[in-house]
Amino acid sequence: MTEHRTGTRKEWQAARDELLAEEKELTRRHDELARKRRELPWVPVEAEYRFETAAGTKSLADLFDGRSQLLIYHFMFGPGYEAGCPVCSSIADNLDPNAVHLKARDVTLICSSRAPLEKLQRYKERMGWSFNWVSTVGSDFHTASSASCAPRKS
Amino acid sequence: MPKHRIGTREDWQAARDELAKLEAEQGERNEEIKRKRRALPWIPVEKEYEFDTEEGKKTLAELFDGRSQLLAYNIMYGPDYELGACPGCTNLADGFDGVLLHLNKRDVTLICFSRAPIDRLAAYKKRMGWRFPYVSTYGSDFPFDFGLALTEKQAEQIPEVKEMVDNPPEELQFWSKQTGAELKDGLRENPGYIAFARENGTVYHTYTVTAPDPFVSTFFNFLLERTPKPLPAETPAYRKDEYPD
Repeated sequence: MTEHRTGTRKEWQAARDELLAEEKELTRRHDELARKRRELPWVPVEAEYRFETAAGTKSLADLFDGRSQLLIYHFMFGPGYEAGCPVCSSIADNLDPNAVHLKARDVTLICSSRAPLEKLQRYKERMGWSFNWVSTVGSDFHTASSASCAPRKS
Repeated sequence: MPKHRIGTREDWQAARDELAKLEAEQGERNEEIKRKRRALPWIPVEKEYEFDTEEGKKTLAELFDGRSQLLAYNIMYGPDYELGACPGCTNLADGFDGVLLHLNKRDVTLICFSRAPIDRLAAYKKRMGWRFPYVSTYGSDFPFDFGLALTEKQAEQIPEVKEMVDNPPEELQFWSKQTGAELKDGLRENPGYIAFARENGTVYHTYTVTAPDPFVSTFFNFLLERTPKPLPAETPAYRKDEYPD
């Protein structure tokens, strides 16, 4: 036996139908949020940022790799870290199998971190990842894009 | 210049903060529904089912593989599909290997079910490079008892299904070519997740969610909700080894 409330198929179905109505309402709001998210103004990026990558130093525009959309996961791996954040690591485990599908939909998916490139590459090899992981070392990209808690330059 | 409204960093931040409030509200509502989902009654599974796995015949309890929770995704791959599983389900399943270990370590066994015979599932799994256990419900009442498949008779009696079979939109005709299944057979599979718990030797059915539901979606669709440009609604799904360029 279990401590959880048990029931008949009929009782479950009645409770499930009630929950389904609430789930549908949540979905409706979810779709509305997705529309609002797409309505945010776009902000031109005027500063020149440089990124260290496996293929040398690249600009932000270069990171798009020929596509028109760039989605970056900012991975917690600061200059002082010996290894990447475990939670970020389990999120990153999901990226490779999905990257091919995003690519086909005009989206380049990459990760960025503040640790030096060499550290990122060693960790990437250990984890068996193949996404492009760029280092922002020496750039204020993360602070400028609010992806870091470091104090902003005044 | 893009057609999209552009703004200053301050404009963006103000709009972003406004959106963040709505996102937080949605998050709270989601937590509430999560609690209600967990409060659904559990139903003891009394019937004995047997499944074909890559390691021979197994019972439902054996599919738990020693853990106390079983989460299964039902991939649309019926016995009549000549060319492989539904490409959309295939895309979704591409994401499972990334979470497999992490779920297993959290007392959840993640598997996929399909109704095609096990040798075809094993071959398709190999082609896709998947590692999760892929279990066949071929010849079992299980998918019919749990709403994962429709009998021919049931399919004929559902007006929405009958309409899709009789007057299929272009994307369904394309899907039929991709799977090598006639729609009257192909649309009898129901894609979705089904969850079970196992306690003190009893297996309980706890939850089912089927398409269309945002949870029955790929991880990349979740990411695409955050990208700037919406996808055209009729974008077809392709298996990862069949993308046109």
